[in-house]
Amino acid sequence: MIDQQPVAEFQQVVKDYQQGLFGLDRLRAIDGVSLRIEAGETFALLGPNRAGKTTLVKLLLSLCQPTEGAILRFGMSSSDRSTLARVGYVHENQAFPRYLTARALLEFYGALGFLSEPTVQERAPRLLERVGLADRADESISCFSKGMIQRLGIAQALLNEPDLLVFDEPSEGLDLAGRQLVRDLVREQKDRGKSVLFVSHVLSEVELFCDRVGVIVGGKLAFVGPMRHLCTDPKTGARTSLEVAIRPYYEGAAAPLHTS
Amino acid sequence: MDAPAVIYALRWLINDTFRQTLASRVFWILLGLSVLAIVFCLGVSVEGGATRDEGEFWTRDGQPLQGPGSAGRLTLMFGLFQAPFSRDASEPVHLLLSIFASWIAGTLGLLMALVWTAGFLPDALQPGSASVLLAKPAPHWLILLGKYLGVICFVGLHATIFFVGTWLALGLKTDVWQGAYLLGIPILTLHFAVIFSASVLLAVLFRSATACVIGSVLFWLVSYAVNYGRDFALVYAELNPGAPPLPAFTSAFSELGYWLLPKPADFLIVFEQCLELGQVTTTLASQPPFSTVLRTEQFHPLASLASSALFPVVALWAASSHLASQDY
Repeated sequence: MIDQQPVAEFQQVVKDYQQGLFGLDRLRAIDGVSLRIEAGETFALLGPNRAGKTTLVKLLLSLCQPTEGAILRFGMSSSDRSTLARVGYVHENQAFPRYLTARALLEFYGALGFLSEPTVQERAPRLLERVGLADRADESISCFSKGMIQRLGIAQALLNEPDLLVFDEPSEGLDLAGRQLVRDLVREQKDRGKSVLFVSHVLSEVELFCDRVGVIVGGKLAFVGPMRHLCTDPKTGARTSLEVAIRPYYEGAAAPLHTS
Repeated sequence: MDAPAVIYALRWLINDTFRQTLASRVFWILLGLSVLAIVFCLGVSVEGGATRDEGEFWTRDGQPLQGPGSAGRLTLMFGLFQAPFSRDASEPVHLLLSIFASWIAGTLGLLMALVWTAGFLPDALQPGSASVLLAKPAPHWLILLGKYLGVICFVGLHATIFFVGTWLALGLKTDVWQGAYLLGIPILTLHFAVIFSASVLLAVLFRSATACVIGSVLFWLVSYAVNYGRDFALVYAELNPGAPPLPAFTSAFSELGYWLLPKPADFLIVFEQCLELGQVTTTLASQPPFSTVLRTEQFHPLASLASSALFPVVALWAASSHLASQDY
């Protein structure tokens, strides 16, 4: 059964990174972001480079701590790591221990995900088959191409059958079949009533399957709302492409925050 | 968190470390060095030697041994080198055991293991690896503990191979069986575990293999110096009769450092004491100021080992807290 509470909630979150000698300088990466990702929805996070998208993802995954505000996962504080068992994460530049085989890697991450040994043994071969690595299961990762490592990263993210799948630039290094795999996975996740947080610069993918979108610029949310609202000209009501719709936000020409 | 899940995760973290040692060839290098030491021991033999009866030494033909004359011969490297010894066969074997215990395994082996394993944790904490690793529900302390235990098990295994192998080889070749020599396995492993915990803390603080290697060796040297300095301060008056006493703060400072830090010299001395090496003069315990501390009964082995063993608890707790508060 899917919970009706949001799978992720950011409440007035601020994140400052310490910089410079002795960490005395501060760089504000996230500036007062409030955002909810509902159960069962596919949410896209867009924004130019260094806008704060990855920081927001890291905050959600407890990879860094907020300077101010609170983050909830499945209604619980992000300091409660047990809720991470319901999250799958695909990182844009995954670096796995090169001495492990593909099968051993899944078993390793399954163990750290607190899955039982029989569960991992049952799911690992199925997932390797799903991402097209079944015939390379017992090969060392050191022989894998970037695309294969990315596929393996997708498999490890699916190991716990997550209620929230976080894709941070998942198509990085993937060939056409790999990109199709990502699309199929998002669709399957959606069909099962589970949530996806999608961070990508590939707007065609975002346009294809995301329900709502958040545009973050300079650490602030510039837009949060359904995709159709973003892609509709408020004056004429004409439908535009996502690329055209988000350009004013990227160029700083749009209003600071527009929510619908 | 249920116990089977935690044990499964710990098992995999230890397994992962062993795979890392195999891939980095550290496993094979240490195994090769142990095999070399075992082959060296197989090349040792003793001929002749006195027998001991009621505290007196007797030659093989039943005459009491008089003076420091040669009672037997030790041969090394399958007969390549020979050296006379003056009493029973255990004398040269004890000398070899003391060298293996204090210098080969206790110092050189420990430092090599420290240098070669120091990079394991920083590797796992590099940005691409850490993001996926730390986004799993396993708590940070469990990840650190698992990697730490993996390295300790690895060193424990190699200590077992080294001590059992050299003990068996020397015993078979000389018929001198010094059972206490096998205590080197837990003592060396504990000694390593204490020092390696500082490496774990450095790995979390700097995420750099170089910082870990240099920092861990420096830490061992500083701990050794503090151990030596405190013992020196303790018996200063005895070693320097008539000299003005040390300032009170020097004694207090050295005492504080001694009890807070690991005690590398004490680990070696405890091991040497277990071996009951008798007349052997190449041991650390026979060198001042340690010999004076031992003679004046100011050495407390249990308190020393227990306080050293507390150090990893504090270091791992600090590392785990820092890891949880860091941005990745």
